[in-house]
Amino acid sequence: MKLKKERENISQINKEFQEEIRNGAERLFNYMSDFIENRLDKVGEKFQEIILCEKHCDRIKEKYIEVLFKDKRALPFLIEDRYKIITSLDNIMDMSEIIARYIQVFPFEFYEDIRDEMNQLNKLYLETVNQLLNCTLLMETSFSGAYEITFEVEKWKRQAFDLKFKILHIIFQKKDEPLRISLTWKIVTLIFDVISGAEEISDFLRGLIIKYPGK
Amino acid sequence: MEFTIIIIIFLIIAVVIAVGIGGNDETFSVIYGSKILTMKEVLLFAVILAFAGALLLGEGVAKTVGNSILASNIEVTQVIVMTVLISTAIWLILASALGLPISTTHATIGSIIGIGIFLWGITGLNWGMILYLAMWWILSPIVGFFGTYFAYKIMYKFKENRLNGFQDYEGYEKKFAIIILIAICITAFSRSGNDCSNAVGIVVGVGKVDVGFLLIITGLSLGCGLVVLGRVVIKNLGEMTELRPSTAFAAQLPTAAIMLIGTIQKIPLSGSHMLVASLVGLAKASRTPMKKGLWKIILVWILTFPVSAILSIIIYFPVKFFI
Repeated sequence: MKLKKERENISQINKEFQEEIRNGAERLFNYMSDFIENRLDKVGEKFQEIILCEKHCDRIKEKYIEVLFKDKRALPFLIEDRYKIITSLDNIMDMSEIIARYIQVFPFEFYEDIRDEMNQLNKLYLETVNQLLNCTLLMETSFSGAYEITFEVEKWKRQAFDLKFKILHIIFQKKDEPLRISLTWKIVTLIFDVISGAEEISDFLRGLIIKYPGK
Repeated sequence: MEFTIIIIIFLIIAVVIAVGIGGNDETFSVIYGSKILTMKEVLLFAVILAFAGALLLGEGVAKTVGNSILASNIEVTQVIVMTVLISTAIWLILASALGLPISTTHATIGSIIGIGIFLWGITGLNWGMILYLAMWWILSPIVGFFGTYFAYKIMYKFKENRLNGFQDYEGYEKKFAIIILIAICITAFSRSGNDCSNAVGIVVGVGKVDVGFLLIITGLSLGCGLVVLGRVVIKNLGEMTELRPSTAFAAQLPTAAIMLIGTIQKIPLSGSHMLVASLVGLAKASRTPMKKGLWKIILVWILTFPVSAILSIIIYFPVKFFI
């Protein structure tokens, strides 16, 4: 009875954590959209929401880890893997916060000629994070479903890779203020890094699925 | 010598033997290794079961190993039985203190061979029986190795095809945790009942002592051996390779099956040897690294025969002097 309750508790906290990351990713997506469209008056409020979201994620993560390690009857390899998954997802949220902070520290007018590519990259960010979260949820009940998703994440990372260099190709040809070029380059790279980080996690999950029968 | 003093000496010897046997009881190592129970819980279970087994099953269990190893024309006296038991106990305690699992059966037979050769020469032993046993001792770990190897491979296929997701794996391992815990508890219970005869046999033979009292003393001594020395053996064997409840079951299954065949065929086999061989088989099948202490364990196994044989010859003189 106690065991069932503990399991319910841990999956409840996990869902809560994932929901918060989803919220955080969506807020960063909206924040980025405003920034790309040069609606700079709106970014301040949204920035605070992202920071709060990240802090909330950290608190839920701590709670999850506490429950996870308190369960003495839990299988050690499952504790280890669940711990790795939750900490990697938390990293995604941390990286998202860095993007928000970067824009906040020096908001500038975004280049119009790379708006479409940047919006696409932003959309890829949101979709990749959402799919990664779906994948980690499926790890609990369906390895086959999670396995399929890992390939989608990989496909999106490749698309993001192309977009990143397309944008860089355009901005590096500009004979503009170096700071503006440099900041644009940094933001593009940071968004790509989050997508790339998500793909690394999905790679890890794929390896885990293959290895599991041997555990 | 006064009869009471003899009884007291015998009782002390019985306690030492029981401590030695308890100290080298590796039955619970897979339970500890697969993290089903913590060391404290393992010791609690093991002590309760050792005590209960000794008390409820200990009476009436008799050892006949000596009769089949020595030539048929040789009479097994109380001095010989005692010499064999004391030398076995010393070797068991030494190995347990080093945290190495050895075979009580091999140590006992090594002592019988030693004392047999010393007193009656080569003709004093039943070589046909020794060779027959040696064949089983070589075969049983091989069967344990391959049995576990294939049991693991079958389980791997099952997991690959049927289990989908962390929760499935959790449920699967939890089921095996219960199954193996029950199986190990039964083994520990019956094993302590059987081991009990090694310790109290000599005192019962003297007579005039309440058997119930003897069994309580033996049960407590087995428990003491487990708590003081046994934990090291359990830890070393349990951590020899990576274990999960299901893989622990795969390792334990061939051991239990061969032990059962051995019991039916009245062949004294070593559970420790088979378990170690099974764990090596498991490590090979799952491609997990083995702990470095394996060669030390094998060396102590090889040394068991000569050391216990020499010990029995050394101990024979003081025992003969006292009785």
